[in-house]
This record gives sequence, structure tokens and C-alpha cells, in this order.
Amino acid sequence: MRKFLRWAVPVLISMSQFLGAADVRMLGFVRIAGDAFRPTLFNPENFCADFLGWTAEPVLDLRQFLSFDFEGLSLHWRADITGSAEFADGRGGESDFLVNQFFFQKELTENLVLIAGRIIQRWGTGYAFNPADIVAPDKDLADPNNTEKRAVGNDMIMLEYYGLSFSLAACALTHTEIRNGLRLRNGRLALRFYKNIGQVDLSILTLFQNREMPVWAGSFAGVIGERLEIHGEARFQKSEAGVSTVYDHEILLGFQITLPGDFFLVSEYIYRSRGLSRKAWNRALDTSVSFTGMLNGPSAEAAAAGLLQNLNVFSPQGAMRHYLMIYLSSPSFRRLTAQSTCLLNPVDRSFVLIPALGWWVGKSFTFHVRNYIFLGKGKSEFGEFFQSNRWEFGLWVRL
Amino acid sequence: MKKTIGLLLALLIAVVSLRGDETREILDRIDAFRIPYTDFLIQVRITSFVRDKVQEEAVFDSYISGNDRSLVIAREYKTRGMKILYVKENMWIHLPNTHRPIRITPIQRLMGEASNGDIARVGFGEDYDAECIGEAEHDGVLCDRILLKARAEASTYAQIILTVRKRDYRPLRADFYLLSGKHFKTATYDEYSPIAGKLILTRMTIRDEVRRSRKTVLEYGRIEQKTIPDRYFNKNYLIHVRDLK
Repeated sequence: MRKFLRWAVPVLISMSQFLGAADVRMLGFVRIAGDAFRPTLFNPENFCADFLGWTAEPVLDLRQFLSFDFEGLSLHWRADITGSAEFADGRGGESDFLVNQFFFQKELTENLVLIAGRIIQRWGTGYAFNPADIVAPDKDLADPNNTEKRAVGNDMIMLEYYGLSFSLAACALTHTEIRNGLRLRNGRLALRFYKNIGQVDLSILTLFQNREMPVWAGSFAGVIGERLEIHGEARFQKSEAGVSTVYDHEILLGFQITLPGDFFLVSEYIYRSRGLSRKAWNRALDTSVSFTGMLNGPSAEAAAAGLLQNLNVFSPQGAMRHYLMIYLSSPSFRRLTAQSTCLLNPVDRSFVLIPALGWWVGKSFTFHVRNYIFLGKGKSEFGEFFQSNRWEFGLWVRL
Repeated sequence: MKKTIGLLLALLIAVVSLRGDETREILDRIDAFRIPYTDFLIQVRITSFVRDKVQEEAVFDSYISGNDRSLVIAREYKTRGMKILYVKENMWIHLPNTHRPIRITPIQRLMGEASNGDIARVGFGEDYDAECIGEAEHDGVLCDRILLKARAEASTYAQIILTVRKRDYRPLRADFYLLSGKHFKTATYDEYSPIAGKLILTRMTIRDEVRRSRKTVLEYGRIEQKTIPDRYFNKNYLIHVRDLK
């Protein structure tokens, strides 16, 4: 059945497109990506390079986004479905589909709105980190191409009252959490009170869930002058760790600014009490290295590499206590755009730098080149990453 | 002595109040050329040029409610369905395929030389104080020069010098300045057409004062009286706003 659906959904999406039954967009890309490896604690004598070498794998990925938006039974219905087919060298074709959102919306009164179904809600104010985002779906680690477009919503019933400068939302949801690679579903009740005061948005949020203490969170965003926006989020939760009580907390502070010449800068800092300190990180490294030594076989390297990958930037929250993100983009010049993202671990001063160039050709085509550079001293988070460099060249097509 | 001081104070208050009324009247007369109804829909086509060659085109629907609220929806644009909400001095954007509105600053460029505030705000009365600073001639027409000073820091521009026709305060040209005092952009108000028994601006051109080869033309097409519910002006409802026709 699933196999049938995998092919049927993209076909249905295509038919809808021709029939004009819904808002359908098609996105496709051809990408060539290559990785360079280096010897690190987890990649002694650069085993990864022997296994994988400098890889360059052309990938053709076609995605179709279908958005139904219609009235029926006095309700407003909306469905977002993604169908995708990927063709990679040596793997043949793989297809998939996702029901990202499927919900209805009913205006009970002029200001009271009921929403039920699968929906993606984001309640945070941050760009890279969202500690206060208690209803958003977790990103799927297994999917390296996971972007906003591929996120799948949580199933929920939400009631929200909209005042002139405030709103109050109550939301009962089932949340899928990805913990240690396992998908866990749990029931949650989330509440949000939002108020706009002057040029500042303030939100207070709380979350109740089974077998855990409530989470309390808050966020703000405001504008200072004509160019500067500042935002922040905080999250607190009391929990038991053995016999002692722990107060977990995460704090995010960030800003975005439009610089002269229309350069755009975003920066964010996050502190996570649950993250590893420098000492704990060193201990984790030592333990993993001795474990790798005990196994002593080809699978050991792969296991160690996988472990490190889980600990690094691609994990849902990152492994460490402190992170700083800086993003800079330039205004487009002759349809050429340049941007750069840097994720820095300020404790060990290791970082990943991602410069990128994009070139718009007409309305439908964009060429891009992107480079991931992992830098840092020995035993640092990004310095121990077994890849040193990743290049991506691609062409995006939008129809 | 006390009586004299009291009399002088009363006179001063009366002068200030008269001046305030005069300022208000100037702004009302200027805004009358931009605002045909209290609540209305205005469709704007934006075309940006570099060295007179078309770079980009877009169509936006702007739902205006009173003096201090507007909702802009991209009808034809590379990010079709993008929404910008402007409430008093606050501004948010919601991009298609994202799930939360983001707070933005009015100075951020929307397209070409047009800033977010140029599209989302049609009147000056709510954001600026006015003062007549002299006379000038514009294309052979005798004009007043009106200095508009932003009341809030979050207004799109810190200062605007408006050149208005002396006879009826019809805006002909505007020079926009940043907080730093830098002359940022210039707009010319090119065309007015009769709508709802009034002459309303239907075409303006914005020129970049730094990169002088660039200009953006805003053409106001469909203008009609339209009221949308209050919840559409709450930033948290932005992600639920559906197509308004």
C-alpha cells in the first residue's frame, strides 16, 4: 500500500497541476556534492577517506508541493503534501511523499478561531535556535535535506482568541520527539499568551506533558530605530536527576540589522544548561576513543563517526552549552546573491563556516555553489569532525 | 504680574494649539491625495529598473484600515503569497512555506528601491509632524516645501521634505532622509486620477540617491472600499490568512 502511495501521490499532484485544482509548485534540483575527509581522533589515519574517498555524487531531486485551500462544510480546509523522487548515481530512483499539513480552520466568532488536524506551528522568535518553541515539530536527523518545506506538523486541536494587540492560544497536541534516533509520541498541552506593547512583542508560554514537570518559556522581539531588530527566548524546566533537583534552562539572544548598502546581518547566541561543558566534552571524547580502540575494526570507525555526527551541529539542539550563529547576506547584484553562515562554539573556538553564492537566471532557475568548512583545534567540536570540507554545486528549478 | 504671566501662558498655549491644528490640516490635505476611504484595498504594481532596463515586476494587494493598519499580500511576485502586516509602528512579514511571522524594520527593501514602509503605509499623518519651511518651484509650479519629522523611531524615514503644490497641497516630490541625515531616496508623484470623487495618486517613481541608475515605479490600479475583520491585523493570525479576493 505504502509503495503504491509513494508513486500515486506524485502522479495525483501532477494531475491536480494540469487540472488547476490546487496551488501546485514544482521544485527540482540537480546537485553534485563532494566531501573531503581528514584524520581526527575518530578518523585515525583518515579511514573515512579510504572508505569514501573524495566523493562526488550527482543527485537529481524533484519535489512537488501541493496546497489545497478550499471551503467545505462551513470550514476552511488546507492540505500541504510533498511528493519527491530522487535519482542518485548507483541508487536508482527513490520516491517518497509526506503529508506535511492537513487541517481545518473554523472562525467560531469574529475573533475566536478553531484549528484541528496536522499543522506546523512555530511559536519562537529566533532564526537558528528556538528554545521557547514548544509546539514545533522536531527536525528529523535522518534526513540531511530536512528543511522547513519538508517538516511534518504535529496533530493538534488549537483554539486561539485574537484581540487588537494580544492573543491567547490553547493547544492540545501529540508531539513526535526524536530521542537517540527513536521517534517517541507523547501528549502535550500548550498555552501561549501574546501581547504587543509599543514596539515589542512579548509571549509567555507553558507546556504540560505526561510524566514531566511543566515547561515555562517566554519570548520577545522588538525594533530599535530604523534598522535594528532584537529578539530573545528563554525556557525553564524543573526536573529530577537522581536524588537532586535540576533546573534546566536555555536562553537565546539575537538581533538582525540592515547595514548600509543593504547588507543584512543576523546573529544569535544560545546558552543551554543541559549542553556539555568543555570538561564533559573532553571526557566524552576520551571514552569514545577508548571504546573505538577496543572494537578495532572497520565498523568501529563508522560507529565513532556516527557518534560524533550525533554530537555535532547536525543534532537537533547541538551538543554543547554555548553557540553563536552569524549570518550575513549581500544585496543582489546583477541577479547574483552572496551569503555566509557561521556556527561557532565560543568555548573551544571551533566553527563551521558556510559561504554560498546564488545566481538567478530568469524566474525559474537558480545556480548555487556552497562550501561547508569545518575548522578548529584538536579535541574541539568542529575540529574533530571527520569531514574537513564539503562542496555543493547545484541548479534549482522552480515551476 | 501674575495676571500678565497667566495671560502670556494662555496665549502661548493658544499659539501652539493653533500651530498643531495647522500642522494637522496640512497633513490631512496632503494625505487626501493618497487615502480615498477609511478602509480600502489598493493594488500596486511595482517595476524596478536599472539603467532603464526592467529588473523585476510584482503586484501587491494592500488592505488599509484606518490610519495605522495595513495588510499587504504579494499577488504576483517570486514569493507569491508573502504577507506584510503593519500596525502602528510595528511591522511583520510572513513568507510562504514558513510557519511564523518575523518582525522586520521598515527600512528593509521589499523590491527595487521600494522599502516595506513605502508599500504598507500610504499616509503621512499618523507617523510625521509637519512644518512649512519655505517655497520652491517645481516644473514651473509654485510650491511649498514641507518638512515631515518622524514621531517614532520606527517610522520608515526619519525626515521627509515634501514639495507640494501651493494651491491645493498636492504632493509633487519627496526627498527621504535617514536618521544619520543621509539623503536616501527621492520620489516623484507622477500621476493622479479621479477615484470616489477625489483625485488620488496612481503613479509614483522612487529613485535611489546613492545608486542613481536605479529607479522603481509604483502604479496604483484597483482601488476599492473594503473592510476586513480585526483579527487580520493580529500578527499571530498572519499565518492563517487565506487568499482575500
